[in-house]
Amino acid sequence: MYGSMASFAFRRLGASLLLFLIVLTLTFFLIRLAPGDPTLLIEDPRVSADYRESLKDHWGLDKPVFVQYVNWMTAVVLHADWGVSIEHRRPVADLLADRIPATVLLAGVALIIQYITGLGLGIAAARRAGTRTDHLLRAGSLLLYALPVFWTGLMALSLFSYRLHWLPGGLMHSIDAAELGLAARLLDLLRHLLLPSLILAAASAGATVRFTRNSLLEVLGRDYIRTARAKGLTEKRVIWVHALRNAATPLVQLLGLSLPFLLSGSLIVEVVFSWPGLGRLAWESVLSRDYPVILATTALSGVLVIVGNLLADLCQAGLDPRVRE
Amino acid sequence: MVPTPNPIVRLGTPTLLAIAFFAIIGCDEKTASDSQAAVAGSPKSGGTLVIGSGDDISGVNQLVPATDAFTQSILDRLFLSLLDERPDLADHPPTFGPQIAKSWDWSKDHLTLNLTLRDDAFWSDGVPLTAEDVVWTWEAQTSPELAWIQASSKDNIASVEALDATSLRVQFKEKNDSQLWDLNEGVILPKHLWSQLPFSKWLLDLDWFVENLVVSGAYRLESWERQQQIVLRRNDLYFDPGLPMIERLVFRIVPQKLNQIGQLLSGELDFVNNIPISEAASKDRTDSVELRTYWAGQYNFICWNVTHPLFAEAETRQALTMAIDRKALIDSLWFGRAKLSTSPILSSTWAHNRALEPWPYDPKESLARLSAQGWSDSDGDDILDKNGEPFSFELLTNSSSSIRIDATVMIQEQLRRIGIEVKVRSLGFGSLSALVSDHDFDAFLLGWTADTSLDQTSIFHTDSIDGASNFGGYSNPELDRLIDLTNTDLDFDDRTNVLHEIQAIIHHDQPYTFLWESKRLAGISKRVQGATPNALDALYKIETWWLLPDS
Repeated sequence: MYGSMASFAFRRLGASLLLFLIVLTLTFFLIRLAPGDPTLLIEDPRVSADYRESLKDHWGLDKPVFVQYVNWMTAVVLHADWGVSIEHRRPVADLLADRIPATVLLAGVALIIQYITGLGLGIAAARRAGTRTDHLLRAGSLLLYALPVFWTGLMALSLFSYRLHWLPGGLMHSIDAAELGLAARLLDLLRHLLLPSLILAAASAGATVRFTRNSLLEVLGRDYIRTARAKGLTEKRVIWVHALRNAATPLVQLLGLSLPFLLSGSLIVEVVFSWPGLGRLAWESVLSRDYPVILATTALSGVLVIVGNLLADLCQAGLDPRVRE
Repeated sequence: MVPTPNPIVRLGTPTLLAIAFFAIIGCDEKTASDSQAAVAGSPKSGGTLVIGSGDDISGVNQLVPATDAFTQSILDRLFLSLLDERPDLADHPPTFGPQIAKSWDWSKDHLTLNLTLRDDAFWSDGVPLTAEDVVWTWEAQTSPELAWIQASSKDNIASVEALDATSLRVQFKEKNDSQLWDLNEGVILPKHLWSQLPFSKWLLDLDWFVENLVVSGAYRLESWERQQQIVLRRNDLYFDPGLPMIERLVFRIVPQKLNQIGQLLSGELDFVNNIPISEAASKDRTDSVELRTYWAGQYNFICWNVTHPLFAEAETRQALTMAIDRKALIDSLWFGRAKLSTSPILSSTWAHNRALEPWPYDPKESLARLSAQGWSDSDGDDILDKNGEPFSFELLTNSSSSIRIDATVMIQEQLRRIGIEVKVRSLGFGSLSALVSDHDFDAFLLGWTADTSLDQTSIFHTDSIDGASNFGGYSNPELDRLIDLTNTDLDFDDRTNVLHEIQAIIHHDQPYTFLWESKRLAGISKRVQGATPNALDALYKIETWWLLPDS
């Protein structure tokens, strides 16, 4: 069993690495297909062509694209060197290190909210299938899933921050947070985190509710559940021990697929809520044609997609031996 | 009547909805001069002013990397300049007041400038700011290793020499009108600290300057949390002990303008610059915020690619200008906060040629002129044609400006009425710049911020077609001669006359169709007193601003 599992993992890992390299290569060439380069974003008419050329020379943009690609790929693969940001003039690795904690915090809290609410409401809907509660939960989850994140974010800010003044209107902490005690500082962070994490979790939670409900309903109709009920087990035990365990496979896959969404979703949420994370960095780097940062954030996103899928596949293979074949 | 689409209609759904929710403004709207007169009570020292910004600063060293307007605005709070440029361009070239230099005098040939520096200016570590700092800053500004973006402003300076700690001699190569302006470009940097890092390493380690930062300006950098906030606190060693009035400036980095406005209205921010004009059209009122308007120092225009056969003749370009109802654009897009532009020298500037009559909006005359050039609708498709070729072109603009996008659509409709087909396209600024720099366009609509030197070389001189900003490829030898003349030694009257002639030629040739000069809007909490934002600096003289106590 372990041999087939290891072989499966090895095959998937190899395919993932190949996919990763393809993603990086495609990204590298695609962003250079757009006309222009970072030097053209300097709007000052007094900037001479010579100065722009010297910048291109400094950043290596004067070399043929294929040479740039080989240089960049060599640095990344052999030295794990992601280069220096054109916009920030800092090593890309430092920039990422600055931003990752904020995104991990936001996405992590959002993931927890997504699964607690998604599972809870999904189970409630499945247990009350066909009732008014079920209809309400299904409609509500569809609505949450359908609403664009930027819109819900703006509306939430408008209501809770600008009208009711209950919560701050963005950023990660208050002006004088550094002078607060630990508990007050944590509370300040939570106040700033609440809206963006709820908004980021909302859309995914809508999908989780529907996934959980459908998966659970399918399992609840099976013979062994009827047998369990016939044996006199409590409904709670039937649901939580027998049904949910078997309904978990698609949910585990959903968890894997949620990882990249949390990064792409956080791009919008971070911009709307002025949250200083990776998503905002990616957005800014696209606007400023900051090639090294675009490539690094894309690579990170690609890693999350691949790792998410890999984890989902491995978990599924662990739960279902037929997948390993 | 030309249709006047409401600019809000073209905004995206989220923006539209957000406007409805935020329901800003129509708050008290005043000009900067009104606000000066309205300062209430006696100035009080202290407090924290919170300012919204869409971007973070790019660093604390002006010479690396290229500084944007916001970074420059912060650096102007941290570092002193040699002189204080004043925004008094209405009747004469800008004048300069003392800053590090407390007095100066010229040699008879106006090529040597002797400056006496103040002896009470210190760096924040207590080291005196001396003439050596000024000399070393000039060396850094002109260093090929650093390739400072504004280095060309120092081309006319032959040498800068420290005679003693407070005496400085500057030798110029040629006498011209912009000698002081050129000398004053850039803030003075701390030699005693920053000279420890060789120029060759400046571009590689920008954080070093943050870690080794000493300042001479009214404020010092207390903290910088990237993409969060920048906190400046009063510099106790600032040479004027009574200033600045406000103890602390906090710049909160909020990328979205709508969120900045929301935070301004909810009291989280005190100052937001560049509020979109569409936000000012709403009628809701707030008690805590007022709008200040000031001329932006910009003009917007359509640049015709004169190397394109359609736009090669001045008569055609004149006809196109006459077919565009620029007043309708201004009325419907700017709600009265803009005026007609006629030349690259702003109407509020001393050298503006007031004798120029704007080209009238006269579609009939426009059509008559085009007919005289052989254009007619020979095939009945409602589009003019000549030699089988339709009068059809593409008009580009940048996608980040909803007003410019709206303007292109209105122009499309106006030109359609005389039989010209316009295809409008909006692009990201980088893509647009690439096409424009390669002269790969028919026409584009953009704006220039006019600098106070009024030098037209980079935009209209033939030498600037390749590698500079004469994107339309316009060339007129007489204009070149006059532009060159402005960079020589002329007295005030001669310079004025030459600049008037330059404008008259450009007005006749119409390489640009000049559209509008617009105002900017700054939203300011009513607790802020003495604020006078202007085109030179939205935070102009912020060291004299003060705050009313919180109620």
